[in-house]
Parts: sequence; C-alpha cells; structure tokens
Amino acid sequence: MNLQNRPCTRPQTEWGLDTLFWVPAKLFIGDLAKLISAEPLSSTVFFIGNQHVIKTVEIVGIVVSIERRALKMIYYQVDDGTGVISCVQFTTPAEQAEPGTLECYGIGDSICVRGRLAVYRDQLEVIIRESEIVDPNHETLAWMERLSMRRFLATSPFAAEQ
Amino acid sequence: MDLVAGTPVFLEEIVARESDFAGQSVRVTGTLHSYSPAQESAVLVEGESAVVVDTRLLGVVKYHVGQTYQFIGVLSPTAASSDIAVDDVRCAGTVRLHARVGRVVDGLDMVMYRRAIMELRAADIL
Repeated sequence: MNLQNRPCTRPQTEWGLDTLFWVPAKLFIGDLAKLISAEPLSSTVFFIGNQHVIKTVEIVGIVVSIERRALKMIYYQVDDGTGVISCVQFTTPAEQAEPGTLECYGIGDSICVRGRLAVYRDQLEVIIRESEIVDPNHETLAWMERLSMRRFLATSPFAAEQ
Repeated sequence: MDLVAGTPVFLEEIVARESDFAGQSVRVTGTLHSYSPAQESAVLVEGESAVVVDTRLLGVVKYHVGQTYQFIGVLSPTAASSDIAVDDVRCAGTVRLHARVGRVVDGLDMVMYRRAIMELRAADIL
C-alpha cells in the first residue's frame, strides 16, 4: 500500500486541528524518507498520507551505528528493517562536564525514540526528546501498530471542510 | 557512508534462493547451533535451514549455543565449503552473512515475528 503523501490544503492556522500534529506519529523509517516538507511555511512540519500534518515521530528500531561529536551530541543510526535514520541526542551541560555520567546506548540495542523531525544538510533526522530500550517483542508490536497507522493515514483525510 | 537497512528475511528463503540474496543487506534470526572462535563464524539454524555468519566485525560478544540471535549484515558470495556440517538441516553453501550487528533475542515470539513480517510484505513495506 503506497501512502501517496499529499500536502495539506488547509491554512496553516488550522494545522493544529489534526490530532497527529500534537502526538509523536508512529511511522516506519522507510515512510519518513517520503515525507513532504511544509516549507516555506515551516521547516519543522511535514505532510504525510492524506494531507495529515506531523512534526514529531516515534520510531522503534535497532541501533546500528553510534557517533559522538565532541561532547555535545551523539548520533545514533536506527534501523527498523524498512530504512535507517539518524537520531540526534544533545547532551546537557552537566553531562558534558562529567562525561562518565552520560548513559549511551550500544550497537544492537533495540530502542524506541520520540522526537521532532528536522532537516540538517539535506538529511532528515530525529532530534531525540525521549528514548528507551525496548525488548524484541516490542519491535514486532511496533511494526503492527505502524501498519495500522499507515492504513489510517492513507484512507482518513485531513482535508478542508466542504 | 549511508547505511542500508537490513531487510528481515527467513533462513529457509536464503537457502532456497542463495544467488538472489547475494549482496543484499538482511536481518536474520535463528538459534545458535555452533560458534568457532578460530574461524570467527557462527552457524544459525531456523527450522531445517542454516546459514553461516561471519562474526569478525562484531567485537566481543558472548555466544551461547541454543540462544536465539539476530544478525544484521550483508550476504556475500563465498566459496562452497564442506567444513561446516549441520545435521538434518540444509546449510547455505554459496553465501555467508557478514554481520555488522548482532544481538541476543531470547524470548522473541517467533510465530508473531513471522506473521508480522508476512503482513509487512503483503502491504508492500518490506
């Protein structure tokens, strides 16, 4: 089933009427690559499915790569079987002062990440707001939840009222 | 370097169509049949199929025979070898998984896992 993403035709002042605008949308990483940006109106809002509007997402996958840039941020590459995306964790000043206190995930950890979408150097990434390790069965459940969400996004429109 | 996602596949699919999977980035799940520290390779078994996994890129991982493991990596062509013998199962002979990620998934509900993958394939997501 192709999502066939379409930009929202409603004015920007009404985007908040879409429930998905306020909650982390449960999506496959492979679907994130096909989002339509709301630029030039907004660089942090994206359109998906039948004119739905999102700015935060929840993804579940396996950490396949970790990159630390100085002490300020950690880049995780997360793979959920449909795609790979960068998830950025910004460290706090306290964690930068005491690097030993920083808790970091390991390669192979199955994690659930919630955060806002951002485009940096033409690459879509997730700025982590919260994240946690989940067990492998949670990933299977997450696939089914996202499958259900896909059906909703493709069929239920957030179109202007007639 | 852009990482390619590991598409979940079953071991019997790899054994049945080895040449089709050569060069692909995949995610496989199975029970650890044996591990050779000298060759840095593990044999993963699922049902009546087996695949050899090259683990030299994984670093220090504790391997326990009988546990369920999941590996993500690239299936690369390899010379057919008769060194690795697995009783009563068919082992992929011309491809070997060069794993870059490995983890223990003991407790994974394999029935639900299979059904979920079949559903994702039916929806054209995988």
